[in-house]
Amino acid sequence: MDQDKLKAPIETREHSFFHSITKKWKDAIPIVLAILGGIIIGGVMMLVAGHNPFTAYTALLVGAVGEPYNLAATLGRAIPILGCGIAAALAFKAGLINIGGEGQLVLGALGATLVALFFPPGWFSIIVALLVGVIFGGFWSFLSGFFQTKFRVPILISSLLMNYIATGFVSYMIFAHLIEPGGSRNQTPLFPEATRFAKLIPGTTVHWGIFVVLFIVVIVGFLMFRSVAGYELRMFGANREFAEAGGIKPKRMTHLVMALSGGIVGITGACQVLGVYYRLIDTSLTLPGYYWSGAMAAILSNNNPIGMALASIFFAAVQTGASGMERATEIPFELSYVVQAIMILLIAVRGFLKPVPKETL
Amino acid sequence: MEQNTFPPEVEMIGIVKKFGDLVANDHIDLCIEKGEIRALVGENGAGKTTLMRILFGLYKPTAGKIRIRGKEVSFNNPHDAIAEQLGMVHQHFMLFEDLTVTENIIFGREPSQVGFINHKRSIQTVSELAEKYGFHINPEAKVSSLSVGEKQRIEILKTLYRGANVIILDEPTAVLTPQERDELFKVLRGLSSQGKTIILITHKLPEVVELSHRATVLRRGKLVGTVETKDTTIEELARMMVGREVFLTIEKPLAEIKQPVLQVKNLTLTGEHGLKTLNDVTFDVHGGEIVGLAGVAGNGQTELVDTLIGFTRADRGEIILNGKNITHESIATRRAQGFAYIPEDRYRRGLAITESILENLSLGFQNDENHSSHGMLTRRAAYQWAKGILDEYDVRLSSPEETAGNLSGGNLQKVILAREFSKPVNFILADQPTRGVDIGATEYIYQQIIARRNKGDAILLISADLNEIMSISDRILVIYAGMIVASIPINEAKEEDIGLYMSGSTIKQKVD
Repeated sequence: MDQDKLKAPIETREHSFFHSITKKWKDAIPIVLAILGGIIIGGVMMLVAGHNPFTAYTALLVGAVGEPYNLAATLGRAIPILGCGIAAALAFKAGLINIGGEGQLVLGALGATLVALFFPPGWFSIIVALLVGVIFGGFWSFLSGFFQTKFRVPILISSLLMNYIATGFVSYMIFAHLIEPGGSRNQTPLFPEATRFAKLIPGTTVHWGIFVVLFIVVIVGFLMFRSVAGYELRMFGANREFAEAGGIKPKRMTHLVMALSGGIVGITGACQVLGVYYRLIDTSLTLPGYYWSGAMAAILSNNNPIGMALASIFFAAVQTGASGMERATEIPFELSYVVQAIMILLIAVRGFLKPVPKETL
Repeated sequence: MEQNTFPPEVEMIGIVKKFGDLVANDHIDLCIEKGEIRALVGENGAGKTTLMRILFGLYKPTAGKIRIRGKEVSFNNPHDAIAEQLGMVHQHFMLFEDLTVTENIIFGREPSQVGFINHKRSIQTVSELAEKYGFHINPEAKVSSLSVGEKQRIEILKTLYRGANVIILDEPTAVLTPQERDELFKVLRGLSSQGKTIILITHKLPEVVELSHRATVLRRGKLVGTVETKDTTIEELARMMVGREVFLTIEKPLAEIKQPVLQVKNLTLTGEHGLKTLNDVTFDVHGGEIVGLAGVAGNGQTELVDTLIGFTRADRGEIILNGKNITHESIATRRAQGFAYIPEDRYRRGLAITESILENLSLGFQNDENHSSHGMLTRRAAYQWAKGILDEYDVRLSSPEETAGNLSGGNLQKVILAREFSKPVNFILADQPTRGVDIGATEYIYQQIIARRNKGDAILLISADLNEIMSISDRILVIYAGMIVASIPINEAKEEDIGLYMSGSTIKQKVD
């Protein structure tokens, strides 16, 4: 009898299916708390500044989803955030902190712009433009990975710093070689009409590129959990030394994931110029902070593609809503970034709430 | 000691400690007299370290009382415990390697004058203290130049300097050679005879019997009992710890030595400061034998393991596995050549504890036909496969989908064993395979390793525990300062000789 007692594990758990469901719900609790916390702290800040938070949040809600046009604006803003978010989630899941999205985004847009401006107009050029966007963004991101495997420069540092090189280079390329003749802004001429994504909803920023991005989100999400490559990526991210000891090649994995992540950011930049502005406007992809919002959506959802998509749309709504709030009240748009950042900080608190590992007993 | 009219030195009454649902200590009573050496014995997870952390103020008990010399106390942190003359020597030393012995000992309580440390007085105080308790140390030596045993004595001196009358030692012999262990025991007996109370956390039963006055046995957070050491035996203590009869000697048939499976030739590795961490290492491991590599931790074992599995590339020399030169091959190629690896630290290299047991088992199998087809995972098939091997290796859990972090250390080690032994391999590198694992699981792991040996596989066992090496190896290699200094068949191996080789004294003699 005692022998059985010894062998019986201390841990007894519910059936796996039920367990995993309840576990997923439990995982969502801190996210909901973080979102609520961000809203409450944002409200307190408004109160301190002498504004009524209820009026402000009502204006924000109306601005985000209150009218069809606002809803479309939210959706339009969600497209680049989604694309950046899935790219960030992919890299983060593999334990690679790719924060070079802004550079990858503008380079992808530059690649697409070159194709759109200099290739014969038509759907064929759209496809080539998207592919060149992937290559430009992917190569830039791959370099970051290569610097880590070859020279031990952490990706965190190289990818961040390479943003400045890329954005500077793109500004220069527009100004020196691609600028619209006679124009007063640092922007390229418009693309030919045949080399543009059609609007999904006329008069809004929602264009056919949303399907490109959604397709990528679905594919990446599916492969991450259902393919051998995705399994290897997740193990690499969960514990790199474990993965390496099990025969996964760390250099190859780092290069591949960084190239893929940057490639996805690149195609997102390409979609943005092909579907929204029909030209490359300097700073149009960096000022709205798409990649940072996408990265935050990835963190908030713990790199889960479905959660990331929800979080991206949520952030897009907060941001478009904040524009409405700015018009209706005197609270500046930037408050939306503050609220967003507070949510991420609150999510980071999760680390302290983890149970004590049994081994320390 | 028994007819003492003074209150006991340490009393813990009805101590309960819960971590969430887990009861780590369940109404434990402990009463220790002044001058006593008390062993606290139990398997991993029995709650002995938790209990001592409560005593030292690192954890707050969920319920229960503590009395020190009859006075009820409540510690919020170790500072409160130190103020009540308690001291603790942790398993991992907390010393500044670049500072001197004196500087380490006085740290936090420096004899000072107007804000400046009085060096002369510090050194004098430390030498007087060392002399009083019979420690042989140079107070001006740099800690980095000391041996492990000496460092441990510095830790003990540190507690004495802070006025400790009760000293708690957590697994103090884990890192010592047999000679260093004897030296430590002498020191502890000396302290006890001068009225200091010693509490020793351990699971090495021979040491309990050799050193302690009484032993308290814990099992799964509960108090099993306290016995007078002179009235007990190792077998009785083991039975109390495990709750059943334990076979402490391992039966195995004579080795049937076959062809060499692993051949290591002149392996040399240069470390950071130009020192050779591996120096011309040459040995073979044949099919059908267990070769035990003994040595004090830090003498090149880690580097040898890393070079064999492929985390590090050797500067010189060759590694040949099953006739193929794998010196410059990737880890994946080495594994494909028949290499199984049980890492020293299962949390670092053995597992991804945030992931499920199924995913932890699958690594290395992911391209096999019952795991995937055309690059996509076939999860149902993998699930069935995992259930099968978990059963075969006696891993107890509710489902392969369970998160690895929920399992106990022994169960996790069996998961690693199941994964590594299910591959088509004939060379097993077992690096501290039973570290932090309880007796039951240890016994099981030994049986599995011996079964592989009987089947004709080659096993290289690396362990800091000489008992482990002595009990299952067929041949013993001793590593010292990156060199293989001895190769001894098991029937000629004597513990004292191996201890001498481990301490490097044979090398020093040669140089002299």
